Amino acid sequence: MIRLHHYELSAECYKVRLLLSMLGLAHETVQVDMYPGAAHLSDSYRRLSPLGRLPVVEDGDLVLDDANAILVHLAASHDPGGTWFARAPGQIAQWLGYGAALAASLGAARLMDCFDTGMDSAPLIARALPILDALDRHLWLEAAEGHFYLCGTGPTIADIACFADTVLAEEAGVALRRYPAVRRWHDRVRMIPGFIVMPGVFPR
Amino acid sequence: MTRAGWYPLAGAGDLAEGHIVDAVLDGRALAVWRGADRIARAWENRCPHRGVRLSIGSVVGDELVCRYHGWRFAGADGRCTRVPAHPNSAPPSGLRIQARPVREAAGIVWCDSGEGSEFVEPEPGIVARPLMFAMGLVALRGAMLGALGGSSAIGEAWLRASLPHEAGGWTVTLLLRPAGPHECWVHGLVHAGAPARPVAIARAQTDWLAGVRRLFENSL
Repeated sequence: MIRLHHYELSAECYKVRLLLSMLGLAHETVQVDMYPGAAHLSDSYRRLSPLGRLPVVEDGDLVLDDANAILVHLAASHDPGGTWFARAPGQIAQWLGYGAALAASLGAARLMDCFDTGMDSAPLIARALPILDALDRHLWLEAAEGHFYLCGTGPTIADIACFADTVLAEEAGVALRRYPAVRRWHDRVRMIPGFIVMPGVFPR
Repeated sequence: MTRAGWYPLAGAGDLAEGHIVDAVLDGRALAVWRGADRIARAWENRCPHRGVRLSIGSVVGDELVCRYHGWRFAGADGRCTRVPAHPNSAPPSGLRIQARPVREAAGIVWCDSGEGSEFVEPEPGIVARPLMFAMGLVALRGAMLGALGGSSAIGEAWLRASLPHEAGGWTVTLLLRPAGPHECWVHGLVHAGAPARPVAIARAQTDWLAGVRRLFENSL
């Protein structure tokens, strides 16, 4: 049985919850009280993730503490159709990298604001805006050719990796209307069977 | 305020059925949407009930549904058709969302910022990706006329320019939409005949225009 250690308000954890739901994978969940409990920094949690990272997935003897790694593992090992990763691994890996860059900028800015840290998120936002623009450019050009997902005509883990932080952008103070192709793609992702929400994300 | 007239809000192809574009025209927030009847509409982006942006709502058939309390508004006249909390009583008859005049032409959804403005049809072309510039319309128009060699003005919100030779050299009509005092969107039509892959030309255009934007951002 796959076991997910997660925190409800974490966009990184939302990525994994989304894929588990879209693939229809049975799993058990363990809530980690990241804020205000800081349970991810406890000795017991650090046995799973020495750096105290969320989420963690345990699958048999395998323990992974990185959202992209978990997405790749689940798609590579638990997707019988092989449509979520295998058909364009290089292209998809590129967008996983963009997703990680968004998490480190836009996502980090959102957590700073939501957890009321009093820190200045402006430098993080400045790093996020060019990434959002590159995403908007790619999605607009792809849609002009009838490709409504990041990598072609069907959803892949690339979409999940870039969806979570961008759909929550307004919680980081970034107006999504600046990125119309990103907004339109959000609609497409919401239509994927098995789509689920988290606080701050609207259903279809 | 900019002079009243017809301004582009979105590419007609980018406004898919069931989608709601969040756009601003001359300080006025708009929910631009297309229902099952395929008609493009631009409504004041504010639910009359609690003021929530309608652009975060959803489209059901030919109706727009507010995200907050599910109030529904008819595409045809903007009137409220249903208040889910009071399913057995008629919705307040005076509630009506203000709709702006909209038309579709040359592959673009246009909106009149005034009333009864004359519509001038642009030369047709390949619809370009809209780009936001952090400048007001007058400043942006002036900067473009100064920086883009061989460019010329068509009225107060359009420009004619050419992509550099190495980017294809095509002529473009740039269509400016004032959003706020420091925000202007640049829509465009690329005049390149009927190429086999119009998206390659749209790509060249957006990368050229993004370069123009970087040039202006660096000189601010």
